[in-house]
Amino acid sequence: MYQYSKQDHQQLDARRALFEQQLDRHIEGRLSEDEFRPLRLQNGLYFQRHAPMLRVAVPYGMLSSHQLRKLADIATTFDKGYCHVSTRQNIQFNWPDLKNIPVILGLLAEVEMHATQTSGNCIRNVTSDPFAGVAPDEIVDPRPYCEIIRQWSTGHPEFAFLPRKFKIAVSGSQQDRAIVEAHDIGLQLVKDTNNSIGFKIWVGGGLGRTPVIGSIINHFVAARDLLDYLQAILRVYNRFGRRDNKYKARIKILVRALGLAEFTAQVENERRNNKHLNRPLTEDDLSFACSFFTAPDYQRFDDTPDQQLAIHCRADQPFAKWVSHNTHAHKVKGYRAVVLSLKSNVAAPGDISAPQLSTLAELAEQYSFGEIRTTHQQNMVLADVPILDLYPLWQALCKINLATPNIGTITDMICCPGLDFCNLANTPSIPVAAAIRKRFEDLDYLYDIGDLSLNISGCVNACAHHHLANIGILGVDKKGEPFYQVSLGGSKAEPCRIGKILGPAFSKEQIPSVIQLIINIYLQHRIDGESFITTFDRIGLATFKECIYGYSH
Amino acid sequence: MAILIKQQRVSGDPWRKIEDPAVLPYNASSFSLLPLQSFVNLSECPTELKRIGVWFGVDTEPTHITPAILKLPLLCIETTDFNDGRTFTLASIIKQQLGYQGELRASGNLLLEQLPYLSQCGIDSFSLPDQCDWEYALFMLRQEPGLSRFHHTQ
Repeated sequence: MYQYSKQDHQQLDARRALFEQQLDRHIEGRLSEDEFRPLRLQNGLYFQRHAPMLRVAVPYGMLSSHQLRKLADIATTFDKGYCHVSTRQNIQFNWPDLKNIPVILGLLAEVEMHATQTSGNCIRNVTSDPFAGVAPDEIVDPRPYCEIIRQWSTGHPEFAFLPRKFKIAVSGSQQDRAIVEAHDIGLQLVKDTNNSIGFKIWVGGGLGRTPVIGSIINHFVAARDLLDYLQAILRVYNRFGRRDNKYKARIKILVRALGLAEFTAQVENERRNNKHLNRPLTEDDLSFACSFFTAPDYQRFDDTPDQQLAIHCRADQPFAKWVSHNTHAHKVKGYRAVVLSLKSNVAAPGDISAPQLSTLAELAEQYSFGEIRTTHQQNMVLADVPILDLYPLWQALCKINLATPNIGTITDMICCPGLDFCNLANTPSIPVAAAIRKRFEDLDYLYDIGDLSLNISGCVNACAHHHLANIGILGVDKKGEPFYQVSLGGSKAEPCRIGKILGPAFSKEQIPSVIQLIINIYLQHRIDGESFITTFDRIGLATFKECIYGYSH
Repeated sequence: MAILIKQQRVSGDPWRKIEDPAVLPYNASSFSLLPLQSFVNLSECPTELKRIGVWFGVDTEPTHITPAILKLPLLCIETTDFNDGRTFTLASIIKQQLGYQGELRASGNLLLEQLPYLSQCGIDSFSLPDQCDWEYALFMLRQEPGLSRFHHTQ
């Protein structure tokens, strides 16, 4: 993990002291709400329905056990005993008191954490693959590049007042687990024929009320030119992105208005103009960044762990189910990455309690080199667990309700906080998730359905990425009543695509039955265990429409 | 009257802003800050115009800032909405790409919290409303920039 230098600590303290002063000025009435808004948002502070919400940055999802303990302390002392993992791998506190915000930021700073640029019209926390550095299909570890982008974008003087928020994701593996195509800039690490490292770059992706899949702007930008290229894109966006209408202000709208060819020409022009000014990343820069992400001290294993695991799984069915759904292959023999499900039958999706956090910190130290990751799927990951330790870890996780064996299934839902918390939401989303989960409690049935994504957004801002789910649910307000629009056939990768709207929206009470019906249609038409997407493409949206609405075309 | 902050000090401002584009550089008095339109079709900037400056909005196309204009001692970017971050990019372009050597000023509706960023983007002086908290403005400008080793592309 990246370790703060003395200078980093000083800067963090200075930023925090400054925000504390701004908060005071606002409370004293010397800074109007309009003036304070961009400042508080750039410091992660929202004013929500019931209380302020503080969004803490978790750069590319990496956390240490010390940080986890600190989050547990804050959740206990200053919140209602829990926190929430967001779809941008960040941590949200939903119930802090405004007057305690400076104290909370002080506690976070003790463990090199902050809430900088987790909101507002600036470059947001960079996200990545939760299996970075351990995935067998990895081409290049994305984390050093994420860290470079983090440092470059934090407090970047030119890009703190962009037309709208700006999200960057980096993937380093063959399978894209960072959804790069749905970001303002998506970066895929690649190697050229000379084995040189570079990036394939997408631009203008994003969800919200106008979902757009990003376009490839460049198939290979050498790693040394990364920041130069990002700066050129951001300059073009900052100059020409729309500022008259916040719903048309994202870079996707600009790319579409100019056309990819013209947008690309402007980016290239910007690069030419800056050629003599910008210093490319040096070998020294890259090795500095890489030095923080060296492999931990792995033990050497032969085939024994895998053989033992097979025996163990045959003997213990619940354990076998968990291993098969909640563990992920590791590039080092004898290890697995473990996904901790934050989708149990008691808490809202993505919520984790203080006692869970504390125990998890211990387990991370005992079994996974003291590191934990958050995922955009609103779960957590222990990335480096020896296979021989899986059984005791599983038993420990069962005790704290973090071993629900549902990763990748329909109950591993992504769900935004919705009307229960959020100021923007039109409709509740957490109760809908709970009602669906109840319908699919039977594990054997869940496994029979297989991998299937279901995301629920409480409004068109699409925080739960409902467009990219196999089954997407969007809450809409109709004359003060919540209704839910269903879309089918979305997918977050390979290829990244936006689902199609099924038809008129349903009431909250109808939703579980509608989802059940969709699943029934899928199971009825599925051939040889094909995926939902494959069946959907074969039988078409019309088949689902006919069965659900009962009219023909 | 506006407050001028330059080199981290409050100072007097000899410059007078002219709104009327009909006033031409040749017949303007010394220390006049003229709108960019006054310079349209002006290809040469004789040395006697040394005490003339120019102001323009954040939407100004950098190609309109001609070599003649770049010889003037003062350029001023006028911001009407502090949320409009084009000020930062325009300032960077004028200083870095166009290589402007004179005094680059920011005026208009700015947040005092933006002053350090503006300064890092190449703004040399700030013209602020007279009721502004200039002590806080100076405090903001004393803040360390807080840049990492990866900010070299500025």
